[in-house]
Amino acid sequence: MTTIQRLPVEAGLDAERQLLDQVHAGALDCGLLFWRPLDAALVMPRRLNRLDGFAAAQAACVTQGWPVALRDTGGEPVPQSAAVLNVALAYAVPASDNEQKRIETAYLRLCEPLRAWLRGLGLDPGLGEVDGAFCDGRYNVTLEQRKLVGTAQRWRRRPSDGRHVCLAHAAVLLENQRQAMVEVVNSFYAGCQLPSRCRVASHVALDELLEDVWPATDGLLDCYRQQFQTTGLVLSP
Amino acid sequence: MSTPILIADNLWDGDAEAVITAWLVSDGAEVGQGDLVAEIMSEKAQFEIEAPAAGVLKILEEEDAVIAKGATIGLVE
Repeated sequence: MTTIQRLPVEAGLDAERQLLDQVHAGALDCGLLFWRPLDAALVMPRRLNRLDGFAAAQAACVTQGWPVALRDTGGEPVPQSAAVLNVALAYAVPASDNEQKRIETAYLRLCEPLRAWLRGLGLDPGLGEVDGAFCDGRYNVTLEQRKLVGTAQRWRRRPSDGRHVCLAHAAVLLENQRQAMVEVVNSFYAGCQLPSRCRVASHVALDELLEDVWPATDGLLDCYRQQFQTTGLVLSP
Repeated sequence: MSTPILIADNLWDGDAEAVITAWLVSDGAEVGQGDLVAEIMSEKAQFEIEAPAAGVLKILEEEDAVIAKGATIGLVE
């Protein structure tokens, strides 16, 4: 059974920071958090507040019902709302990991259980970039060549033992809110005098392909547990 | 004497470049060893960069600069 916390967006981002802090402090080696927003926000890396026009763009987002929140992981603006399931995985890198593939390994540890879960629901998920998607990257989980899941990471070094620790984050679009989400992302870019680059058709929501999507998340935690058993990560309860 | 803030060769995967997304301490400010001073990003992965020594920070590469592994982005004097 997967327990999904219901949190305001800012509290969810704080919970992810706390998870990384716990691993960094050595209180645990591997932790997993599932959360679903109670409200809506356009979440973006802190550096974007340096963009020309940021203040006006931020105000425009507020009037559309998407206040801006700043996050610690990389990437571009991502809308967060009750339509989204967030998965945060934090762990200390095992000594056996290839240090030249740490980023890729972290993305795969985050994404492969999601893909296994989707396969168990009768779907055929891919992994890769999607032209026109917001916050595009090489490690999107896709369905029908459209973006279902976006991912990002944050890394720091643990001073007590020198090990690197990682927070890998996924945002899964469970309910179809593609139109409003793409509109607010493009509105933000327009406010910053940047070209509108996102297309509704580049995204897909799980409830466009399945019914009863939230009950379907029950099996997700087991998919992570099964993968971690094969990769040497010990998930703390 | 100054200590370079070096970007380690094993910080991220392969030969990709990264971007300095933020300096969290101003040029000329005092820092302690281990203080978080900068953030850099590659592949949507944000890395925290710590001060290698205590002293005064001198920034050599500004925010939004593209850097390679092995780069010296600042000094602690």
